[in-house]
Amino acid sequence: MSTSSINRRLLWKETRQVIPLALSLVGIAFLIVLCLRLLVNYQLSDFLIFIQVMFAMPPILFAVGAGSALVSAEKESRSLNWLVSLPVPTTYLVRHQFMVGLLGLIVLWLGCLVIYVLTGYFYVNHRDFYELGLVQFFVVLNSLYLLVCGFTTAWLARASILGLLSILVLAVLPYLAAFGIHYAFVELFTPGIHYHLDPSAWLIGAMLMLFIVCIGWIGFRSANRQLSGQANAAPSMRQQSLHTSLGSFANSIQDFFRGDSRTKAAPPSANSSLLWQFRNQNRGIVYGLYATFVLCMPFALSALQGRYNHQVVGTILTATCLVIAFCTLSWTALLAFHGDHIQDRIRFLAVHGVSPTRVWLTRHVVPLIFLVFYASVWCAFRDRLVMSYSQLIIGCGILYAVSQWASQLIRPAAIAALVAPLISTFAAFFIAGFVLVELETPSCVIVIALVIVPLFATWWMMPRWMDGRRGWRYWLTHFGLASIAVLMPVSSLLVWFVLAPPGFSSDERSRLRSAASDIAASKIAPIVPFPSPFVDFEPAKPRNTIELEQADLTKQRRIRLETLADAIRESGDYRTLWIELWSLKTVISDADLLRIALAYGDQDDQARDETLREYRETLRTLSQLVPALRKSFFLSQQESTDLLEIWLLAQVTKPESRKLLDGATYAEIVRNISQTEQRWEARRRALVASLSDYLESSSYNPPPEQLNTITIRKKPVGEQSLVDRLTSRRKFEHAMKSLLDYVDDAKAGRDEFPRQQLLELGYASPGAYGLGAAGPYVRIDDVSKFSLGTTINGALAAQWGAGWEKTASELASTLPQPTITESAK
Amino acid sequence: MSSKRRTLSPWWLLGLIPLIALLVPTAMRYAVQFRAAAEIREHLAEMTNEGYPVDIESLQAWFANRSSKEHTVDWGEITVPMSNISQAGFASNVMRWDGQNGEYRTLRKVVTRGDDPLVVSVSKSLSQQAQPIVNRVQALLPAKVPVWLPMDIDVAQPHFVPSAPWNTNELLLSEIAWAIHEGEANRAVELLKLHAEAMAAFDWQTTIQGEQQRATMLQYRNSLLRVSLDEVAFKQNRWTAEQLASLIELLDTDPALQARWRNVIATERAILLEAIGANDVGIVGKVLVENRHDEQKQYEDQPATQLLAWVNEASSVMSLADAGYEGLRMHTRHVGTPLHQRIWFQSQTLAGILINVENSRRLTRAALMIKKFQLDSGDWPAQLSDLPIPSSELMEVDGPPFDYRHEEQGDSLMLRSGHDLVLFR
Repeated sequence: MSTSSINRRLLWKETRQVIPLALSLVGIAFLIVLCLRLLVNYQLSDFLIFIQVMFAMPPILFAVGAGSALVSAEKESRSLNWLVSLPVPTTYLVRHQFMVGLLGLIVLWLGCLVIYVLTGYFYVNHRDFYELGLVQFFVVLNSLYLLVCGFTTAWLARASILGLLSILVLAVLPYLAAFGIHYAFVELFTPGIHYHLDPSAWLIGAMLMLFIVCIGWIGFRSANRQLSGQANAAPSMRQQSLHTSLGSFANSIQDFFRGDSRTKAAPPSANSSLLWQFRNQNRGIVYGLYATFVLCMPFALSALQGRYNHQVVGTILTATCLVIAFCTLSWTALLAFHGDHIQDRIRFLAVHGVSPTRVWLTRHVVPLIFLVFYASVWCAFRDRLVMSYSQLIIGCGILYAVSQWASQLIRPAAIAALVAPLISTFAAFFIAGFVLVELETPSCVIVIALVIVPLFATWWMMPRWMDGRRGWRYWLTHFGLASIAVLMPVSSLLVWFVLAPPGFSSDERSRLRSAASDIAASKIAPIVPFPSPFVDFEPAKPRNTIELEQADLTKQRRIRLETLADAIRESGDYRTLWIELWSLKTVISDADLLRIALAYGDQDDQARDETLREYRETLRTLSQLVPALRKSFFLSQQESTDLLEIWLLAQVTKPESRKLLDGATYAEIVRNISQTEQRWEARRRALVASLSDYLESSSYNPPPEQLNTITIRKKPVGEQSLVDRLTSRRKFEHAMKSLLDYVDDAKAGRDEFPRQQLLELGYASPGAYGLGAAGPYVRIDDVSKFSLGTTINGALAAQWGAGWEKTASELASTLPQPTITESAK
Repeated sequence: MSSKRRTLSPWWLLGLIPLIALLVPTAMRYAVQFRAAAEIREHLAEMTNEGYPVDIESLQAWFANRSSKEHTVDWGEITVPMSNISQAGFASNVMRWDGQNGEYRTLRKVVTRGDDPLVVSVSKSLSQQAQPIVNRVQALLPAKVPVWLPMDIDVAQPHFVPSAPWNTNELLLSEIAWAIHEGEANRAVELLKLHAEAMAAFDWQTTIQGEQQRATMLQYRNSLLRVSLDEVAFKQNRWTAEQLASLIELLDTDPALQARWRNVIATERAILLEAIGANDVGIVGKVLVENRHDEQKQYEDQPATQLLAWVNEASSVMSLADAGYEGLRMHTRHVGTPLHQRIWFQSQTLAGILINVENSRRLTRAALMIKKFQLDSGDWPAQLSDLPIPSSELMEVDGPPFDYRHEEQGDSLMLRSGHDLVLFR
């Protein structure tokens, strides 16, 4: 066989081995980006950064897993022995495996660069681009180091998963070295105060280069020794002596760690044998994971707390430790079924007829112990995670359950070790977090879907897995159960949708639009705005004059009344009037002040007559304002008019104010405030016009915060869950339908105020609709409880159909009917 | 037969230790919860026995049932006109916002620039226009019926403050300043009594912010008295000894702040209990706020005892104030409950508020006593100990004794405490 032929065939073989790893990593990155795009409403710039981060993950993870996929897999399947027996130089094997790994890494980084440039083109400014570029350079260098570590550990370790886990230890070595040098030479021996606690990027880079060379050399030497058969050669005397002394120490440790299993006289039961087999099979890895978790936790907690003030602890180190500590549970869960994948050990149990349930149970005991340990440590420091006790335990359960599922599903150790933490984290944080917060799914449903279902899936599929019957039924069942696990929590959204009251149908929408266009056709325009209640003093006047005029409330009151009367006159029959609520309040309080002056002032008779005349004139003008405002198609104006009518009603019903009115003023006021039909018609018109505007402006969810200047939503959009956002529109529309129906019913004489529907919108307090102790003073049934200082609430339809309307109608019925002559006038 | 040597397996240790680590804190947590639940039940029983409401609804009903419906409406009617007069005062530049004290300095210019004809004419105009409302307030107050201003209490935003007490305060203090300026001592005394009654009328519907403002109102009233009397009464001798005696009596009979704060504590305790879901305690034995109110998620996992610590310490502050204000200095409990974390007045301490009002009262009273001593005996007291006041009241609660001195040069006589200065001649 020629050299080029060997090269070609070896490259072809290695490439086929790494393609599944590369594709699965890129696929998962795509899947996560797609899911988040569909479910989370990111801003574009945030989403583009997220894409960049997600597509930097496949090359890094590929660097970790390539060694395992290329070397360990061949060692476990013993195809390496076969390759060595072929007339192929051993250096070719080592070199080609590494070259393919490196090539894969370069291809993935190039892909990442393309995505980076494409996304960066849209938003990144030059400064960010430069800073990100520098970071990317070290990330690439770091991934190269991880690739070298992956190959070295794959050659050194007997089991692929052990090799993968050993990378964790090696991964932090350059950083520890960099921190050590930095600490020794900068922090300790250089005088002065040091604020920069991280070593420089160049020092870390240099350490990475140094370790690439060192670790690479160790790996290359180990590979050559194994392939040339030196690894199996008889050890030297010195090595034998060292091995013996280490062995005796290891035996004493093993005696302790094996516990009673060796000393029992009676033969062990099937359960304990299986347990013994499992724990001995995975002993090294489990202890390694315990040690890794314990070592990484202090750094991880430091990272979580955001305190980087310790001199040795740096941001890169703590962040790395956080990720490693976090992933240990996933890797422990992987052991549940992965240890038995190696050399098809599980077939031995299957052939000997061991119960699948028994196997399933015994595979979970050791990882579950780690789960309890893991959960207890995180629970002890849960404050730093800003999670509640129950959320944390559920999260750990999801991490474990999903990872053990992955361990049964994914056979290649490298892919499983990289994919399991990703998908379990995605399930625990994104799916569970999303459905809990956004969909308001109950915790028990999440536990069933993401903990019970994965455990059930592995138990249910245990016989097929043990027998190696991985046909389409096996995969379909897993797929079906996975669908249930994902859809069950999401289904609560459907429940919310079913339970949410119906909104406007398309028919109702078109009717509303048509009614609104009729109103628009008859719009009384233009609007006459009422000027500011405070007099517009000429700035040219001397300061003294201005200050005196500002203090002259009488003069201001007269100007205000005159302006208001002019505005009403100007509006005539076809124009509406616009008056702000606070302006209206000022005019009303002018009248109140006049009434108080009449009752409690020390005026002479002439001044009293003048005040009384002014009071009556103010009341007449305000009563004329009622029909002028009722022409308005603005809801806020209708609400203001309600308050004005109630105030006028109080003036004509309370004895102390009633006695100040002459017959003509009284009759005029009562007539103006008892136009029940016009009042309902005005409200309906305003409601229809406002709703039509709402339909035009909000084809998206959620509904706007205000309906024609009246607040209809209390929570800002940012604080609303997805369920809120999706259902609030329907809730709002349902309440508005009820209100429209109520207006029609009220016009026809029936009266069932939709209090509950309006309260459920959540923007108004119960008092606004007459409930609670404050209710009778806010929604006015009894006019004697009205006062300007307490009644104004601003809630939609707060005074609609309240008792004051009936009182007004009854008063009107006591008035003498106008004669024909008066009507003609 | 082989010996059954057993070694304690670390496998079981690995399981057992974390299990204990998980279970023991959980058990302790539940123990704390049950203790807190018992404490909440005690709070509820105590409040029920004392006749206080235990939730927002009963709190509202408690307010409403003890008040006069007519007065509720009457005060609501004059609130807006009172506010309009204040606005005119601001617009005409005789009232202004004092950033340092966080208070409106009502008609301060009348006191400091009493010789400015513009200020005098503007103030006179405002006083004349406000007269009917002052008369109306005068007619309402002697009824001594508690006033309730209906407001919906929202647990998520419990810092509601009715505006009527504040508007009344502004109106009456303006009138007092004007009366002192005009030398109408009897009217000033009458208005001061009216002011005290007005403050008491809203006494029992209190919240922390309202009561904190009320304390500031008293402080400002005392400050206004010292500054305005400085010229008119102390230097020009336009007040008689009897009129000063009635002012001293008014200061002595100031409504006890402690009693009002006890009502505040009861109100806030009802709001706190509502916020932490105390009414669920009896049913589920649970004292956590599990998403009860979105704004209070931060209280999740906090035992109720921790939240109610405010009530306990606030009560002990009141007891110390009853016992003569000694020992209050050490109390640093913030005036706001845990529900007020993001409110500005959270930075003040409860003891600090009481101490400030008491300091201001002591200084004003001492100044009035010095002048009265001079009017009674014809000579100024040689030292403060000549005054018929216990020496403990001739000093600040948390500071040094008042500085009273005759200046040799310039023949001035002054009483000083911190930055406050009263000049007698």
